[in-house]
Amino acid sequence: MSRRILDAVFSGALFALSIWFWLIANAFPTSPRYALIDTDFWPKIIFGLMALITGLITVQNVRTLLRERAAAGSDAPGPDWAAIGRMAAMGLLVVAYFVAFGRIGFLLSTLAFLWIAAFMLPSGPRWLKIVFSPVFTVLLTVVFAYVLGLPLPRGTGVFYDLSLMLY
Amino acid sequence: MKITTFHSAARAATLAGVAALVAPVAQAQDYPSRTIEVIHEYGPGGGTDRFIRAVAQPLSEITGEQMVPISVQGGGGVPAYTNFIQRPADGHSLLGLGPAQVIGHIQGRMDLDELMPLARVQYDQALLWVPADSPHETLDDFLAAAKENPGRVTVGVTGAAGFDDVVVGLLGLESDTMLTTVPFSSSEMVSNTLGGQVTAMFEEYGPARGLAESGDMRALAVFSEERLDALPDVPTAAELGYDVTLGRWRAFAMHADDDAAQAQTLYDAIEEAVAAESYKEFEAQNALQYRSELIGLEEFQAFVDSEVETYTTVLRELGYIE
Amino acid sequence: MSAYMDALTYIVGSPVNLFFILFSVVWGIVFGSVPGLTGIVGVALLIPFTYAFESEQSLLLLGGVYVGATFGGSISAILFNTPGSPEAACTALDGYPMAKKGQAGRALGIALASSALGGIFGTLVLMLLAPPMAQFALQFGPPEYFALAILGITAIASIGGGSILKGLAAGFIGLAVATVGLDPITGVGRYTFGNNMLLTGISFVPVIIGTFALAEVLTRVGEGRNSKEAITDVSTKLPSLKELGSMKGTLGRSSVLGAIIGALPGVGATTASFISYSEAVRWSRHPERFGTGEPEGIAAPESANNSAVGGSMIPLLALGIPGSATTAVMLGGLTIHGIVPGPLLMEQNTRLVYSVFISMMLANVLMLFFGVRAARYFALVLTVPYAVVGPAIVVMCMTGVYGLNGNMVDIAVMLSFGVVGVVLKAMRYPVASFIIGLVLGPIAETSLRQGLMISGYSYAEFASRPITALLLGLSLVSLIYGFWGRWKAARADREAEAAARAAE
Repeated sequence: MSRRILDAVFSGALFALSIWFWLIANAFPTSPRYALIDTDFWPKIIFGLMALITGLITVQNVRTLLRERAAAGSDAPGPDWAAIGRMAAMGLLVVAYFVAFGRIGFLLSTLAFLWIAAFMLPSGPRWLKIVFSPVFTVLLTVVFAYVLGLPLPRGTGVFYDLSLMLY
Repeated sequence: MKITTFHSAARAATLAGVAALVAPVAQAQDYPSRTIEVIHEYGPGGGTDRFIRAVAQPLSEITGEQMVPISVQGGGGVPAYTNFIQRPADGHSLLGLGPAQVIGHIQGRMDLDELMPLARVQYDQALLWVPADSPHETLDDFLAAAKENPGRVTVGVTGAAGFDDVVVGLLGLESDTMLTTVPFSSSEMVSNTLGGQVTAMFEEYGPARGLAESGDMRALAVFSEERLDALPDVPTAAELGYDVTLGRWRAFAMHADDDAAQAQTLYDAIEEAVAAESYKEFEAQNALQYRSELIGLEEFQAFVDSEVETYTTVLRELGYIE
Repeated sequence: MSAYMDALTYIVGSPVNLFFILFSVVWGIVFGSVPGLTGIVGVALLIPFTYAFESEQSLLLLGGVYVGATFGGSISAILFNTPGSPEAACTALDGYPMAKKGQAGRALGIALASSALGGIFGTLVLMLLAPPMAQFALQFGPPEYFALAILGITAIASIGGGSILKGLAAGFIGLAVATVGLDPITGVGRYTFGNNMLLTGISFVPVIIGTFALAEVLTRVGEGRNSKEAITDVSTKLPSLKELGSMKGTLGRSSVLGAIIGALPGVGATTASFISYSEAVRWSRHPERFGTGEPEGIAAPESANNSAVGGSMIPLLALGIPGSATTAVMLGGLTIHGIVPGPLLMEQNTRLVYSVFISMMLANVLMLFFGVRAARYFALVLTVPYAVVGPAIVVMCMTGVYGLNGNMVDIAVMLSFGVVGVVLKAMRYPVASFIIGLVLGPIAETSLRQGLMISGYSYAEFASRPITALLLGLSLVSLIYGFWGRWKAARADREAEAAARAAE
């Protein structure tokens, strides 16, 4: 049952978003020189059609939902909450890594992320999880900063100066 | 109260210690002390990227430190500008400066007051090109056709609402003609002009040189004070009565609060670098020798100020700003 | 002919030159296979070094990297669902599912053989037909580009076994995402919500890395202890002649499309691979099998993107116009050596041009050999526990995306689209349609507006150009045909269901 509700909510949200973005396009500043193909020309086509399609899907989903409710007792399985929990935990860790990536620089944030993530996940020998993080971090730093000369984030403040000493 | 003071003093001392340890005190003598990074908004291999590399080569021999271009592409140069502004003003980050930043400043997306113009190295000149089999023999032919068929005479340009558009727009204003500019990527601009999809295109001499030498394209006019030695028969727009001489220039900028002594040191090094044999060769290969005159610091600041004034007028008349 | 001999002796006669080709192919495969580091970065990084070499040598080097990188992306796409380069995004759609079925070796083999075949075809077109192909490409103005993009987009209706509407909706989400950023014509910012860093738009590379690689890592983490290492057979096996023969239609069509699209300035291998994929689905008897590990779903994009490499050299050598982002970097490399790119290049620098031909041919052959090796080394990673590989993939993606442009917003985009990828998959909206919309949307928009400008805002004039009319007609016919087929299938399903119910 909850699968059907989720379907309907998702397509409904897409429908609402298309309408909202169409309205934003309607308010774009206009350029007289390109009046016939102005900034809003393409977005209005795209979001207009998208609203139509997602609207149809929503109607379809709601009808299925009502039909099944009338029939009562549906066997569509609900979402796997344990899996979602694990994904969310990893997702949060990645977001924290992203924030640290910019603030404290590549080196320290990567070191920490690889350790925490490795111990969050099941399987794999403990020594590997401990050794892998520093080895991989140093390897990447050397390859990116020295061999390839590509930029790595250095962080801000004290971390910036610290990073400068190394790469 | 006392404790706080103590703590903050201790913190300040620690910070100063760390700073002394890792960041050599800004002194002109041991500057630059590490790789100088130049942020720019164009792709690798493009005109600006090659410009930075060409200067960097002799410069690294002079200063003993590397200089590398860092490309933060797109968005009309705003992401590159933001990236630069977020870096500390320690003299080791530069911004590739050009008309795009002037236009960005006028549109309110960037702030030139945050920048210290360091050195203008190149001053390019663009031309109006038509394919070899075009019916238009002169600029006046071309403009007359545009007046007769409003909207049907199209000029290929690169970038939306950018430098090219401003110069072609200015030509339109000067000649009282409605010219339709069609923005393309640079390679599509050339293929669409060769294929006759657009009437003409606006491009600097260097990139179009191959097509001019093979006879596939003709130039109707050059937007500069003087004719080019390589194309002695192509008149300047000014000769024909349209005062359009704006050119794309390529320059370096530092942060507005960078150390003035450091700026002077770096400018002197750049002056020496652009006089080097390898740079001169690069300049000639790209047909940049005609009006590229190195100007720096105060003189360059005055140039930037005058550019801001010029572009403001044109952008206002073209309806881009109020 | 003597010019060819001259070039051949130049290359084969010098161990240094042979070494350069070898080195560049390996370098290319490495850059192609590491997520975020694309062939463009691989080429750009070598440019400073080419100062020291002869112009022929520098082109040998850059051409080899280009060839290697275009294949390299498929290795990580197949093994980790992490397209190493944008042109390999399409390969992940069927390559990874096939690998998950325990046939990683087969998938890699098909990718490698198709790449080499496509690459050799593209190089032959470049050698034999460059000037006429360049003239043909000039016939393509904005209306033709628009029609080509529409042809690719309409295939959305036939992709994905599920509901037509969901396929269309996913395609439109891709098209919608592509509208963010500076307007390509008026220069006005769209949907940036005050964040100036978004003016660049939502870049393609972070999005594909997010929707493919990051979403996959999250999914694997979600599976927890149930997650099994399904990818076992990784010894790369080149397909048999019989298997290749069964795909000859797809291989031939994709190679031709690849060479033509590659030769068009401004669009390159990525567009070629997606349009070929769309066409493979459209012409297949079993369109519903695509996305589940269909061999032709690997053969089509891989032969097309490698054929496009040869194709994109055509405008570069014949006209001095780069056909793709990578060749644009190569053009910069040429000018460093004082070569003026233009129509005279092929007449005046015959040795240079023929050296490029021969070295690209050699590079494609070498790729067959090294591709097998490279895939084998990569596959070793699969023996390492996922607890370290998964996080390492995240780190590689972050670092690669940052290295591309030095832009934190790109990483934020990548992370957001990791979530989008998971959600689309969970809600059963086909990711393939989403990516096709995202790739072809900007081409369609820009060329439609440019085309309207040059045809005086007349839709009739726009659509009456011969190539445009042909391509748009084809799109319309196939769209109707696709809908009809799906509707018929749906009706058959319903009738079967009704019959089953009646039987109960």
